[in-house]
Amino acid sequence: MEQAIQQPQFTIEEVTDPAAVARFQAAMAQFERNSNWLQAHWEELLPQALGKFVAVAGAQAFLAETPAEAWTWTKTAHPQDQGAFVEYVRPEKGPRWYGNRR
Amino acid sequence: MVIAGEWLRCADGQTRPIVLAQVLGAGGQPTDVRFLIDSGADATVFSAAVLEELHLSELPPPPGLALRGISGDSSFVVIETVIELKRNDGGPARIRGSFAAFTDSAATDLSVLGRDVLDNFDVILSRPRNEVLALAGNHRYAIQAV
Repeated sequence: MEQAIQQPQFTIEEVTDPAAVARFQAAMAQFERNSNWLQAHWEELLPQALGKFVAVAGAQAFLAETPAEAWTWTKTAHPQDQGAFVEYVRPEKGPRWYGNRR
Repeated sequence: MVIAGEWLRCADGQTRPIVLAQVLGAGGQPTDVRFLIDSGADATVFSAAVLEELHLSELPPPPGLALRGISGDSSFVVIETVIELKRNDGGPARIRGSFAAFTDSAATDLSVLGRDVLDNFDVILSRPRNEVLALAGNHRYAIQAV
């Protein structure tokens, strides 16, 4: 496992099975709709979202204290939405550098 | 193969290159994940919020290996999963392998697609042209004087 992380090896496959492609496209369309919705509504969620987990489903947002609470909301409020997602909203301001390995 | 992402505005007002994907959790259940495309990150890593939903078996990190997030060194686990990225023809490109996942929510807001995955692609990040592209297989880029 150590070798897998430090010298990663991946298999990359292009899926062409029509049923798998159709399922994927349907889910991604809902995901893209929710992602676009969040882009257009950040102002309504801030600053109360800072330090919380924002869940987006059905073109609605829910602010939660924990990831579990956020994911539970997506399943109960919008059980048919295959494009729900949850992200933490960092409270800090200013430029940021993302992660690396050492 | 062409995979297209987007420049998306984040909560802090910054616009970053992001690609949407599905990640397969326990039983093959997909979870929707927005990945930051980060060619400066050595490794792909999932946020703690995503890890929570995947319900996958978690392996301890290799001895002596640390991951550093925005807030400094952060605890992590290793999971085996599949990342499905959307090709421009609509179908998924499945990337199967072992990945790190932060266990601390403060480590990162976005999951990060790092060079372990990106090294398999030609990556184009063009803010002026509003393009986020990853190319592989029979697709490549050309530079032209205009």
